[in-house]
Amino acid sequence: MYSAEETGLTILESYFNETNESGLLGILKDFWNAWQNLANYPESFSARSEVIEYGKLIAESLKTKFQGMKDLEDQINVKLQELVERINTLASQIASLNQEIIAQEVGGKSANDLRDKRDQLVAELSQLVDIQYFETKEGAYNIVLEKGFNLVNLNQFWKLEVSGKGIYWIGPNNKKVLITSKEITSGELGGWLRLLEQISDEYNYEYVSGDESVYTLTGEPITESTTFNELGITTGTFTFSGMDHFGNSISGNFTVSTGNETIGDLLNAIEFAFNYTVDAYIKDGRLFIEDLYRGPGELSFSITGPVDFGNFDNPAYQRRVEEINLAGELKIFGEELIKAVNSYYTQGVGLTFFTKELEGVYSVNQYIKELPYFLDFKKDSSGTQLSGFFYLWIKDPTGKITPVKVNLNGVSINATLTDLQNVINSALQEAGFYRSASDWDIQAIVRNGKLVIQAKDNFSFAFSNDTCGILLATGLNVFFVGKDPIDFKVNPILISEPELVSSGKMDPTAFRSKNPLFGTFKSNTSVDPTYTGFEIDRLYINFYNEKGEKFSVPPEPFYEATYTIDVLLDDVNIYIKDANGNILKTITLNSGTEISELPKILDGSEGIKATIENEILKFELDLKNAPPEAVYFTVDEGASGINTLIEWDETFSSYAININSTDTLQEIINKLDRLPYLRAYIDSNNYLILTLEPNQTTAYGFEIGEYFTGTTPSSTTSFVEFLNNENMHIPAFRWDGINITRVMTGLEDFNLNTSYENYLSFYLFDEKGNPIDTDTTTPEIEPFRIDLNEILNLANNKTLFDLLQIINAPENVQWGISARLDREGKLILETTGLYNTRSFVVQDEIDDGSGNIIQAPYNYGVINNLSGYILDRGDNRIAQIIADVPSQIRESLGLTTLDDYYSNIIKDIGIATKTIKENKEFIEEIIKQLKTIKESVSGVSLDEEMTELIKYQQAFIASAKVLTTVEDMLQALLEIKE
Amino acid sequence: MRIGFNTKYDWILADLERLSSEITLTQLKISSGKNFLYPSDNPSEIRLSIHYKQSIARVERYQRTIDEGIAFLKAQESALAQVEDLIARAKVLAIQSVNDINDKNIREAIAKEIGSIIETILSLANSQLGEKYIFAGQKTTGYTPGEKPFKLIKESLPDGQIIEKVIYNGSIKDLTLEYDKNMKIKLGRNGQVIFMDSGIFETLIGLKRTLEANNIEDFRKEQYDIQKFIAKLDDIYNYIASIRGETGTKIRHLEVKKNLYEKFKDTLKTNLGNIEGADLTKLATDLQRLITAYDAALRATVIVSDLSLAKYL
Repeated sequence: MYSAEETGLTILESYFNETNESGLLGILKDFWNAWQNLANYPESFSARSEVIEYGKLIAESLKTKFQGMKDLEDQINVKLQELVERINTLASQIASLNQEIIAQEVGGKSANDLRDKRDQLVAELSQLVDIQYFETKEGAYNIVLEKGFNLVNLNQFWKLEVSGKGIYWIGPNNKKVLITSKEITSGELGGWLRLLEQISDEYNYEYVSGDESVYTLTGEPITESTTFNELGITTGTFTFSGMDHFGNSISGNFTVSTGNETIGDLLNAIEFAFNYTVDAYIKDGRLFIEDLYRGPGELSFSITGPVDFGNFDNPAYQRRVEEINLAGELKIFGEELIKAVNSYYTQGVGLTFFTKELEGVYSVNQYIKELPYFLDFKKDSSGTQLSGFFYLWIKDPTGKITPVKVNLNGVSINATLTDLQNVINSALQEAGFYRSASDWDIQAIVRNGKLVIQAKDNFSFAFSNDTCGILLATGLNVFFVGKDPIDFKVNPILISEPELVSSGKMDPTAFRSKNPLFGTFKSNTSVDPTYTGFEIDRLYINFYNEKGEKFSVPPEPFYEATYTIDVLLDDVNIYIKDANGNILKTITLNSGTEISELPKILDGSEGIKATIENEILKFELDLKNAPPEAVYFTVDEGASGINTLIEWDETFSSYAININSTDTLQEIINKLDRLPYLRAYIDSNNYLILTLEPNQTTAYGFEIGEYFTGTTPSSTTSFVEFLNNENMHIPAFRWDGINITRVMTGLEDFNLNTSYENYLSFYLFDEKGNPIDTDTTTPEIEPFRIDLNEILNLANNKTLFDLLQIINAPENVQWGISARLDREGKLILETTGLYNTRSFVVQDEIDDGSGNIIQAPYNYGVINNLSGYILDRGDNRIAQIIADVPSQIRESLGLTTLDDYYSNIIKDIGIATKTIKENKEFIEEIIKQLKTIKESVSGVSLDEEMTELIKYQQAFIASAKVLTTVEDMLQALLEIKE
Repeated sequence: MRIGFNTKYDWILADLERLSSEITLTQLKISSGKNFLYPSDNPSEIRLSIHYKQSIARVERYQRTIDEGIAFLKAQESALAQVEDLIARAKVLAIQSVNDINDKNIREAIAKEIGSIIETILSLANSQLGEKYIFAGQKTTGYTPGEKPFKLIKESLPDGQIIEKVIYNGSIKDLTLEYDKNMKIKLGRNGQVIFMDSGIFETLIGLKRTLEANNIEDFRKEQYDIQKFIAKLDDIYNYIASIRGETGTKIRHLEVKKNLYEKFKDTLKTNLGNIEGADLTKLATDLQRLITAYDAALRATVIVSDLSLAKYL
């Protein structure tokens, strides 16, 4: 027995010998190193090729090893077949000899020769299998196997049979009873059986089976294609119940209504009820329910109906697993390796998106339950519906990338793959990429039981943020194709297009819009620079910083005025103030002061510096000499004769520009251009341009207001209406002396329809890619959502700058997102690093009219129009996390890492082999001692025989001598007589 | 005790086989230099040996990553050091222009030099390490021909003015590097943060324009404006210096980590050697002993097999 086990385990040990560098660990080390190299060089094509080559090596290596184990298993099966045939032959011969011996000895004769022959056969049989035998009074041998299975009784014998991977004892009425190493614990058969049970993965799956075989009316055992008509059944209902591997109760029924239904249909219904965690099949006319999950479980089953399949609780017709064997552990290692790499990989993107189509690698007959990893799907609290979503990223012919959220909440666990296809197409339809089955840019279909994503020419797609597990289960965007380590490979698509190997992710840690949120404003049509007719008294300009915060004090304190006098006709008071408007210092320019002397008088030493340029008087705050808390100043001209051109208006906290009723459009623009940070001009084609000064670092946006003195504001009387009419959608307001009216928010360019509820939604993710729920009171994952209608509603007097302020507001800091503008007016959204948010996807959403919030079409909304999602080649998140796989704790491996799990298996193989070797040595030593004792009693001793020979020789010589002497004596006597 | 004929030869054969097997095993250990050749030779030590090898592999992987990171950060630090020098030079020039406010030629020359400083800083901002742009965030490559992370564009205004500005085409996402389990470090800041947010280009372009404008009419205003630029250049210098300091700190952090890993790896290798490595001296001695015993056993076999009464009959 031990020889058999030692042979097998030694072969197994050689497959998994990690004492040299050519073992699997060496290849795995290179594989993880290749991923780390890709993480260090995510933009590199050659790093991708390296990952693929080592991936192929891993697949080939694992395949070779598992194939080796399979070959060993097959060889053991052949050996078992030979042993069983020999045992059957010996049993038959012993039974035959029993009959002959009985017949011969009936007459009182002895049948020693036959007995000797029978003893030889029994001795050989006892080598093969452990037996007990005794002689009957008739002189026959009755032989039984361990655990009481009859083998020979008088002239009768029972056979053993090999069927599939099992050995069966064929009992009365051809009933087959499974024999395992528990029933045969020693002998060569026992040894090979024990070895097989250690290296065959099949023994890791429990099953229950009925103890009755079922036959058709013609006496044939049923198969899966047998119809119920063949059993004489045309109607009836089967009711079944039980527990799956995990202890979940299952129940179901199947109705026969015509009789044309087959046994296979019944089996499908059973598998469906078990959520495809079992394989139901017929073998030798008996119904088997076999677990598809390894290891000890809670599997049970019972069925009632028009066909009696027997009792499923009979232990003799079950296989129970106490612990997973070596083969199972190795398979689990291989499966986990594939799953670990793929589960991260599906979330990633390579150097380019997928074009044309991508087919999932796993297929089903109908239901998503049949998909691998179905049990890993995220489900709601009831367990009957899926929960979560994934993102499909679409790149259109212009290069713009739009995220499409495919929401899986509410999809039933009993859904078909076609249902899933429809959910994806609905999401694409919301986003505007799918109009109908014949008019689409991107669509999902089901083909040959697989999910396929298709793209029209010049469209392409990628995936990310699968919080449900659907991408892994359908096999979309996987690195390894296949689940079973005996038969998996690197995805052929990646081999032919290595640039598709994922290294990064699409959900950004920071986002910068492609188009400016606040940019350059150009009139729609050419304007008349000579136009006069605006009924305004003043223009107000507010500047905003990068965070959308309005400057409440002038960022550059100055004052400009025109004059027509040479000396001041009245005192001019200059009040230097702090941020709260408190006067810190007053400078008085006395009446009679010459204007031309002002630059010398106000040289900055008192905190104010005066300059005169092109007959415009300018005062500026000299911060070096002003009081320490000074931030701005105001001027009271009195009746001095100087006329304010530009000043700081404390009421609106704005720069205020005085406009004369006779000012032409050009003159108004020239006045605006005098402001710091603002550039205003009419170009050579008479288009009006308003923009920020390019080379300044203070203002990132501005707002225009007017003091309207007319009666009816229109594009000819109101400056801000004029701008609005020219599609120059700068945030703007109107003051009529009493009320402020919001005219433009600045979001007018974004195609937002205020009859919808418009939202800007941030879907947030943590370090591990898990979604962050901003409202745990609802069952779905809620994003950080901003109601844009709050801004769009003019009555609320808000602008696009309020959008930034809302994002940056103290109450929203917890979501870990900040917003600002860059110098070109582009919107920058960044993770702050505070709290858990590490990446996000920001989308435009709308209310669909039924209270459901859905994603907006790709050309609607703020973010969709700003654009800005890009594929950054330096993003290495996926490559890095895969490189870390060997050291990640995995729950499915009993909270150990892949590395540790594998090293434990090697140790277990070593211990098993060493134990067998030691046991074998011990037994051999015992046998040697016993043989010595036996030899000392019955063996031939050469010295003894030689001594006996000498003794007999001497005795013969002595006898011969006596005879000779006696003859001589007789002769002498005869001679005397004569 | 009665010794059967078969027994004597069975024992001789068993002992010869045992000695032969031990000689072969010892020989294999010597040639491989290892204490064990198969997992069953010493399962618990095998487990430890695998664990050490895995740890060494992990440390080596992190070491390679750290080397890449240090190289990248050093490239950044070197470029930033040059940028600092250029800002300092620009400040000196600006101060000189304030002092030499009446000399048009000097101010033109200064404006020209400021222009060249802008070009040089632009070039430094577009520095590459291999094929990667080091100040472009995660958009290290993938630019269309002629495009770079930083670009100077010019715009003409109706009054004949040429407006220059620098735009940033890189990414605002920072590169990260994992140098230990669950421990990441940012590989420097992206170009938006370093160059664009600092205002370096706007300030230098503004200074150059002011000098080129040559406002002799109101030279005091020009002086005032230049003074503002000088103050800004101070701020920018401090800003760049602080980023460079941060980069230097990260380099030192990684270098310390690298040294720690080196020592750790040495320890692991020593431990692995202790478990796995064969004591060649002992094994050589054992081999000699076994060979001697085998030779003696063979001789004894020959002698004993010749002993028989039959020989004397």
